[in-house]
Amino acid sequence: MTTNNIDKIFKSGLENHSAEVPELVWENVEQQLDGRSSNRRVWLVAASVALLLGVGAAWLSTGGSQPEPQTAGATVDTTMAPQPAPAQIDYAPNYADSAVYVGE
Amino acid sequence: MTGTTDFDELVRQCKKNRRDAQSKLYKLLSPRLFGVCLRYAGNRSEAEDILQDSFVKIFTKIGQFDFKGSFEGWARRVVVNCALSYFRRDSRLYAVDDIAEYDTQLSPDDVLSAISGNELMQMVQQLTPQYRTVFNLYAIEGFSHQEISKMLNISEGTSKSNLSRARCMLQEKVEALYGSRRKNV
Repeated sequence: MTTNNIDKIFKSGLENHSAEVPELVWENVEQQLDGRSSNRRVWLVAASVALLLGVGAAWLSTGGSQPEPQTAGATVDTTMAPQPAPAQIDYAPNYADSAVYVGE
Repeated sequence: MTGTTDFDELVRQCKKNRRDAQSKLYKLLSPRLFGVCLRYAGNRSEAEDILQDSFVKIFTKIGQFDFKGSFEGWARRVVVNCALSYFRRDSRLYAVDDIAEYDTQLSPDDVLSAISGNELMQMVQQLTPQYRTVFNLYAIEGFSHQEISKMLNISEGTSKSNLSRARCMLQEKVEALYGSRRKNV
């Protein structure tokens, strides 16, 4: 079926091509077989948690006017807030929930 | 294939989820299967993702391997399926206009003595995902347009036109590189 020369060139050149695999791939396979998530996912979750904590801290440092039960979010040092937002933010009701959720 | 080989025994151990056997099998097969991943991927990092998905599938579905045919052939099919589902997520296959196809006049042996496998791989990776996928399935894996149209849920015409485009682009790259080698030698 394959009489095309381009096909022939790439088939013979690449059919049995092999390449060295980085160690990390086997480690990730093992972790997934163990039922744990891969490194990449762990880092993604860690990054999201850090982001949410930052946003939560920013909100606490400025708009603490709404009395909400705080657990995990309340322990965040508010001086760590990355960017003090303008005062009087009253449209961010979900941050507190996120902070509590992330704390688990 | 004759009787029980060491390799069959290794596969049997893997069916029992023995980690030492899995590690051995991985070491034996991963370089060649990574070669398959690289052909379907646009770069090394995508290829690593596909290889990881593939080995998790291979070890969790190894119970389905019934020792008919070679294990490596079975594993390659798993890899190709993982590659297809990897790209199904974010790329669609479009029909392109038919183009006049004319084959290269270069002899494959001459080209292969002047251009390395890595260079051919780079040319394949520079294709768009849809051209690359159809070219791999047809020219290297040996599937027919009818089979490819079912695998990718596209028409046979789309498969044919994507193949023509891919061949045309690869031909240009091969002839350009081969030509420059001839001048410089």
